[in-house]
Amino acid sequence: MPRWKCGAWSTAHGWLHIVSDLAIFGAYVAIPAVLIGFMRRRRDVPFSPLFWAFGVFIIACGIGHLIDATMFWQPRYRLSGFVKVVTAIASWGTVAALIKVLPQALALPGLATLNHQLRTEVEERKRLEGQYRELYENSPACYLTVDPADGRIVMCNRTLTDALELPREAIVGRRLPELCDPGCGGAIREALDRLAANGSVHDVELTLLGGGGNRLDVLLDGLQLAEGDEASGLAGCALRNITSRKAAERAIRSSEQRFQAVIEYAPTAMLLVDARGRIVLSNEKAEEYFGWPRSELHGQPVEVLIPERFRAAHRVHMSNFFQSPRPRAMGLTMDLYGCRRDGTEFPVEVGLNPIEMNDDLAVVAAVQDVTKRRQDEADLADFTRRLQQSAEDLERSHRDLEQIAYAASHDLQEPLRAVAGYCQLLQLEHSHMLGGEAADYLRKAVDGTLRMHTLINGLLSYARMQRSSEPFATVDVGAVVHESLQDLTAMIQESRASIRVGTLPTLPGDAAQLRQLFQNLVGNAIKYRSDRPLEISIAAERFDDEWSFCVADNGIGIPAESREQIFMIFQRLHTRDRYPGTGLGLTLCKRIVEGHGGRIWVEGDADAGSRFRFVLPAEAEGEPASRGRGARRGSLGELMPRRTVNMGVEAMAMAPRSPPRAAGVDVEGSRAERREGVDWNQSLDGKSN
Amino acid sequence: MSLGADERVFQVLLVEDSPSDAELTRKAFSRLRLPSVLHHVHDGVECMAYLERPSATQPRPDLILLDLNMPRMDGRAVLREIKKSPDLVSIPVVVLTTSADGTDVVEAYRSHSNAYIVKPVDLNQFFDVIADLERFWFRVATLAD
Repeated sequence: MPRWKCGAWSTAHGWLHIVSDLAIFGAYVAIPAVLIGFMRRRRDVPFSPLFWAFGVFIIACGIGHLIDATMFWQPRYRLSGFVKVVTAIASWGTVAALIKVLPQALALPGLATLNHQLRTEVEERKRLEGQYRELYENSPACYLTVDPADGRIVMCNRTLTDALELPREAIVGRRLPELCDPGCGGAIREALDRLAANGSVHDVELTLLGGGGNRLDVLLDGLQLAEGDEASGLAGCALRNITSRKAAERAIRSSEQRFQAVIEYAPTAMLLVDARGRIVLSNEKAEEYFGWPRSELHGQPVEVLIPERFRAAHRVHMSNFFQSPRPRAMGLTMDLYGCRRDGTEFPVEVGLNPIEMNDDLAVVAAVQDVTKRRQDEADLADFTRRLQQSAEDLERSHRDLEQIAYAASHDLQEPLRAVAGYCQLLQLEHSHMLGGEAADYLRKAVDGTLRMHTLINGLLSYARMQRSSEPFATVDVGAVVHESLQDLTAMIQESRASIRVGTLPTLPGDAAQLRQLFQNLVGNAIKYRSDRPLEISIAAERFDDEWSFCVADNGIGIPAESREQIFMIFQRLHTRDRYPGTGLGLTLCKRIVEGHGGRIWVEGDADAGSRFRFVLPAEAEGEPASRGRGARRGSLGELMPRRTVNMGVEAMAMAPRSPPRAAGVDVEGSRAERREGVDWNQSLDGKSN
Repeated sequence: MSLGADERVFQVLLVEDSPSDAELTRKAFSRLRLPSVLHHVHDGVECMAYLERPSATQPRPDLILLDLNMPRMDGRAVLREIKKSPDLVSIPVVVLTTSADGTDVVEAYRSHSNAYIVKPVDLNQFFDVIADLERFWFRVATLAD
């Protein structure tokens, strides 16, 4: 049963109720106010009608508490009851609404889940952003973001900083034209303008300047960046690095220039001919050779440069060449001709080199005008022929002369013998019929003929020396001297000459001729002796590739002015009465020495004797030990410049001034002993020290 | 001076184209003490004709003096013919010539010349040579019959 009457109220009880109700009312007004504020701000919050229902229900509750508080002064129970009814309706309405949204509310995630989801999402976004940044920074292309209005760079990727070898700060914040080569200032300004106006640019070729003089050739593509539907005012640019391509292009260009320069300045005419046989390229020399200006020549078939009669053959040759292209020379074995524009021809040599041109085969032809060379060759051949002719003529005339000398000497003997014979018969059988004077004349006639006989014999031996054709052999000069001294034994004995022979070498030569040489020289030394006891020395020294011989005596000597004359044929310095002789001995010596490829001369002080010096090659020249005969060498020697006498002077200067000490053999009087000499090299060393 | 026991007259054939040389040779023989007859022919052809047909006026020679350089057929060819012939090979042949050329000397001896003598220009020497020849071939050496 309800207790419709209240108990005893104290003031305290009353104020407890009043204050509490007012506080509740205040709170119940504040809550909807806060909710309204929240809802106004978070329009995305779901279930907003529910919030409204809550608001009404709480306000209604608040009003109920306010009426309860005022009940102690105005007992409005009906009003209070009405408000409670309203509150109850609002509350149940809220309950109904809550029940209605409960499934949806149950489906809503909890806050922790939400947080977790949010965190995951944030991390995912971070990861993606990292990926994008990574992609941006390390993209193979260089990226930069630029403000087209002033060209200022806002952002760039690492690919660009790496490529330019510049820190990011040196790029971002600077104006794009400042990074470019001054040469492309126009292009960059135009590109920025177009970017601002059209929103995009493509394939703008720029050269960027990096750190350390680094140059970067790039192709720039730019696109204005948008923010939502709005233009951001910035442009993203992708830069493709084409530095290596440009370098390759430059290399090709430079190589082409070099090729053209090589072609242009070649000392021969150069033609580049394509596979169809058309002239593609030619040089200045080609213009000069063929008389075609380049502009007219290019495009013409190469046959226009070939004489009419060779054209058909040339087409075949060319086709063969392109079938098996390899470098080849033409005109070396056969005569080729070029044809000038005016139709005149000139001899050429052609070098062909296949090259690849635009995936097709072409040929570089180097054409040399050999007119002058052909002329020179002809001249040389002519000269050689004439030289050969004169050499043959000379040889023949030499041979003829030898034969004439031989035959003449031989045939002269017979009439001479007749003259001498009959004169002597006259003396023998008819002297009684002749007076003293006639007998004297006859005697002189006989003397004359006998002298003539001696001269003819001399000529004969001279001719015979030239006719001998023994090939040179290795000759032991020491042995040869020994033999020649034996030949002269009688003279040596008679003159009581003291002869010293040094160590002598072996060398290539004709032993018989060398024997005669020494015999003549020693014979001369004995013949032209003075009143002093005769001393003769024979010595040899090596100078480089020659042996220098010296036959020295202390005889009457030879005046300086006659030293060349004595080697001439039939030249005599003395009357026959004093020194009989033919005047042929030294001529023979000269012939022998020169036939051996050597030289002979005489030196010495007047009245102090003579030193006959001669040098002979130490080694065989040309084919060793099989050299032709002396006379032939002599005749060739007259055609060629001989080594000058300076060599002789030098040899003389180096030769010992006094007769060399006897190193080996002493030949005195008839006693001719020969001992082996000392070692040649030691002997030579000893003397040159 | 004494003649051979059988008083044999030596027959000498001189093959010489030079009249003067022939005369001087004849002179030299005339000075000899042995009886000898000098037959003279002027070249190789005459020489071979002489040798092929011996007769009373052209007796077989005991010695042939042969010049080398002659027209028609020279002494070298004659020497070869004689030394090739079995009938004539036993006749001594002395080459008597102007040539002192070594080749000629060697060739003559290779062709079996019995001696090689260079004619001296001096007449006295020439006489001596002929006298020596006479002495050697007619007194010292034994000849084939």
